[in-house]
Amino acid sequence: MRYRNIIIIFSVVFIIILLRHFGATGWADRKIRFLFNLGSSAVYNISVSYNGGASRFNSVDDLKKGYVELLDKYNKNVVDQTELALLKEENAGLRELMGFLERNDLSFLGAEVISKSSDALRNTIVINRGSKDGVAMNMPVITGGGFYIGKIRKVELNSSVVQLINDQYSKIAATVLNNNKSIGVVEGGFGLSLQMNFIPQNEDILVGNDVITSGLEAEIPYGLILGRVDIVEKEPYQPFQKAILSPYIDLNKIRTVSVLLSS
Amino acid sequence: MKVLLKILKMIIVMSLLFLFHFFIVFFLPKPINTINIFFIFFILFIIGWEKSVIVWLAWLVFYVFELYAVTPLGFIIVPGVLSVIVVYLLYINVFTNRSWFTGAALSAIAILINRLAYLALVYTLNYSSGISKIVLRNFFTDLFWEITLTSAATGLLFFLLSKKINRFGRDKVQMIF
Repeated sequence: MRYRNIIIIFSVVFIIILLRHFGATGWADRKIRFLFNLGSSAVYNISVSYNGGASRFNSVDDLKKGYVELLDKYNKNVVDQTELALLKEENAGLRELMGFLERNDLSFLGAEVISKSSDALRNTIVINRGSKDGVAMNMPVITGGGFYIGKIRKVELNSSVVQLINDQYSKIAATVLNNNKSIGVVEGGFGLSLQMNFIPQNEDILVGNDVITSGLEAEIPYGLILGRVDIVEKEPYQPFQKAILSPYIDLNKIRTVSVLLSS
Repeated sequence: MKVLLKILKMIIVMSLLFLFHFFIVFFLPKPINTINIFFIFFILFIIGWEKSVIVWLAWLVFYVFELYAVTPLGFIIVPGVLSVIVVYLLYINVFTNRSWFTGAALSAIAILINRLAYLALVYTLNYSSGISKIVLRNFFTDLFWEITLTSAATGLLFFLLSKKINRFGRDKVQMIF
């Protein structure tokens, strides 16, 4: 291979990059994505079914332990559901009394995950909805009815790329569901866990507290679940404390998501 | 007509490669899913056919991956094409023998150049603010497994192919000027 050929190859690479930057290769990109999405979505769906959404147990004892934990959670959930229903009723009554308007202007768009990240340093997934379905940049993405998993970072005509919450560039304003309603910033880039930083030192965070989105960001509404506090790191003489969170959802086994179109 | 058939054959091969890649990444457990089927194909093609058209095929493969990356344009395609050009030149000018360890070494070098060039782009163009130590540690762990498993697979495949297919036989050497 002569040096001239190497120069030609790199010139072609840079010309294509420039053309893509100005959108000139859009028609070819759409055709390639269509074919790529067909293959990846089929294999991805089969792999999620095969690998299963449930946890695997190494022994009968583990299975029994998992069952007992689940039963406890279910019983607690029943009690919480009852209290929640009563609180909702009371809240609705109070709102009516005070003349507040109902805020329920969220609309969702269902989407399927068709591929995972192709980048070694990033945690992203590809969904089969794009600009023609009304998807736009920075729209929040949830799963399971209310678990926040990321936001839209790249939009094409028929597909979009979602940056997951455990991606190194993901930063979300969050609130801990404790007595103080502590606020902080949940960041990704720590493997499977999330880290919540800038929590005021004088506020009490307990292991097991849930963390939700704070609604302080323009596109992300209040109340979407991020995860649960696993570890609290509190050092004396530091102005802020940290918490390590684990998401409720296994971010490697997501099959369907919803994009919040408006909030 | 012959040219059209060649193009069609290459499209079918690339499609099968992509399907095989999805199977490896989505089905197999870690760390086996770090095997890079594309670099195995590139190295076997370079050794078997000794043609520079492989660089254009590599360009096509990395262009498809670029379509799904959130990194700036060129972060995937430039390191990818660079790594294939470098190993092709290495094979022609340095590794002139045809053996399983040549395949394994070229595979390791190609992946190393690809990943390190990507990391260099990230740091040089200041895209690195926010890369935590854990992400870098995971990156190098995955890189280690990718190099180890991919080069082992390349060496093994070349060894098996050299026994069955004349093209990969040890006594078939072409000098390219």
